[in-house]
Amino acid sequence: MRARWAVLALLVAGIGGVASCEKELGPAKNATPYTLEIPMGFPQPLLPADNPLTVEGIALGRMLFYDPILSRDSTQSCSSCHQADYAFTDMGKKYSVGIDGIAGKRNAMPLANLAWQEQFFWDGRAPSLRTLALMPIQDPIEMHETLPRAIEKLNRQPKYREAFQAAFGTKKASSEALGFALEQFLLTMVSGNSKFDRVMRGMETFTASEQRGLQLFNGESNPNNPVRGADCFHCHGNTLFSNFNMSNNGLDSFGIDPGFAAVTGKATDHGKFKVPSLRNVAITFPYMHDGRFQTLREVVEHYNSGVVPHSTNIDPSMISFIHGLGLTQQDITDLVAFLETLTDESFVTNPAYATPF
Amino acid sequence: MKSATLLFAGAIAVGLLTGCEPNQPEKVSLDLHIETTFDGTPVVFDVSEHVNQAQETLVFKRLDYLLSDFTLEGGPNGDVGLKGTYAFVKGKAGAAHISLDSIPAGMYTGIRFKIGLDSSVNHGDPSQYGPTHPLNPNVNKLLWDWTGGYIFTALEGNYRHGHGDPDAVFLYHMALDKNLRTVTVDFPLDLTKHDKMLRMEYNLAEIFKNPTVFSIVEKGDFSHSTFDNGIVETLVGNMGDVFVAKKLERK
Repeated sequence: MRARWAVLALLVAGIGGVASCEKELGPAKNATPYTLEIPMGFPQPLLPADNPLTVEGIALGRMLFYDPILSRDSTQSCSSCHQADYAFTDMGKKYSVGIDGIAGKRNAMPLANLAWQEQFFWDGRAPSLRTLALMPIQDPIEMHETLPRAIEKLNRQPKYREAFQAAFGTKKASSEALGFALEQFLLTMVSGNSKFDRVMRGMETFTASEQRGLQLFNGESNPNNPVRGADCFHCHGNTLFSNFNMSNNGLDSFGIDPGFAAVTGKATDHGKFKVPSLRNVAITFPYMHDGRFQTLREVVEHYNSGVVPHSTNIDPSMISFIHGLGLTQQDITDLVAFLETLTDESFVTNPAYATPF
Repeated sequence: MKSATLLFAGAIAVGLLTGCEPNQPEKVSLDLHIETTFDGTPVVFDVSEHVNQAQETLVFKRLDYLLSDFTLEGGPNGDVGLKGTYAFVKGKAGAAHISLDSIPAGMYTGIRFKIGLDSSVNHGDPSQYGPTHPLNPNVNKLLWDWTGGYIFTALEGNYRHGHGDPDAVFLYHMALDKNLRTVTVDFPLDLTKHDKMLRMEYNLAEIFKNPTVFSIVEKGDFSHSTFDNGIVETLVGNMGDVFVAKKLERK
């Protein structure tokens, strides 16, 4: 009888021990807290409370971002399709090509100011950066790796075992910690020092063409209004230059790519894609989810006179574009000149976002 | 002596029992639960169709708005203003819940608030608001750079009329200080004892009829509050009775 109780006590203790091992992932005890610097005029972002930024977590995320070890044949990293010189897009390519030589079906999105966003990818299929970070690793037409194999490869390397220990206090890498580390690095990628920002801070001035482009950008297109506007601000307003909504901007009558509808299953979301930020837009060509426009001028021409009026689920904000903007060639030149002021050289050359290898 | 002891013990017991009676609270909370309807029919954004007074069939895609300066009216000591109260309502997200705390307990005759923001707040620094504050532009997506203020109400959707365009869109962005609207919802509010929830409806039909019948075809299908032939003035003028109180219940 006494022996039976002893066995039971051991079992209970064992269960308790196992349960206590499954603690939530968090920063290592000695990890150094990191404060995200918010550019002047930016709204305050909602950072993930369960993954506080630390110097060690960010450093690990940066290593992982640039290390091809996460792809099946160790030839591609996240940075292969997200290059700093192009505001972390794929060097002007329409579609990125994965490790097996297969091209994707959408243009690589820029990576900047992700701390202010809630849905990721053109179709919004990732609800968080930690989710986003693990998807290309496993995507058969991108890095084509499995998470268990990726984790196994990381755990074979002492530098990663040490880095995961320093960041999260865990002796080994895990897929959860991998997602957390990449999320931390991506959250730190802030772009808020373009010429536009410096003008807003009173440090520089626009040229006449840029100034007029800004007025067009923020002006409404309204036949009753004597001042012509290009109505860009509806979807690309504020300091982030996007509302980050899922929207149909009238590219096609009925797009072959379902976009957001593939995520929600709703017909009313067919043809909707994430509104991208226009920060650094001059160097993130080609444009739209399918990279159909090569230049900013082509993009403005689309909004000026190319919007398909009966596009399924077209965003009501496109109403002025449906009527036609009536921009002149000079208007378009000025708008493009303004858009070019959104390039942030200090962002694309920031050593904190460059390869650590 | 024995009976005196019993009497004393009994007195203590009575005292203890009396002490168990709940005291009337000094402060209570009131939650506003707001559903979007069209003359009593629930609005399902992107899906449900509704016919306005002008016989135009409408499908709503967006009804987002900002409320501020909530005041309980007709209390025991007069009106009670709840300073610094702001709310952002995103119609598409489903029923809205607005919590109003620290209300002096008592009977009230109704609630008053503004649709929109006072000028100082409307043109204040938006970066001052915390990550989840209703006035954080990344939360409400209603800040308008070009007018230097917020959109107070954004109403968007599709409409059709007769043999006209079956997929036509409408968009009304109601903004600017002059379009701030104060509304009062008269409803007996017994907040004497418990935290309560007031079930309300935002009746979109009102915007198209009361007191001025509004036709999209006749007046115009879009407005950004300027050069609009009085569209927004009419729509805001029709907001007097959009909020309807239905039931007060204990939380």
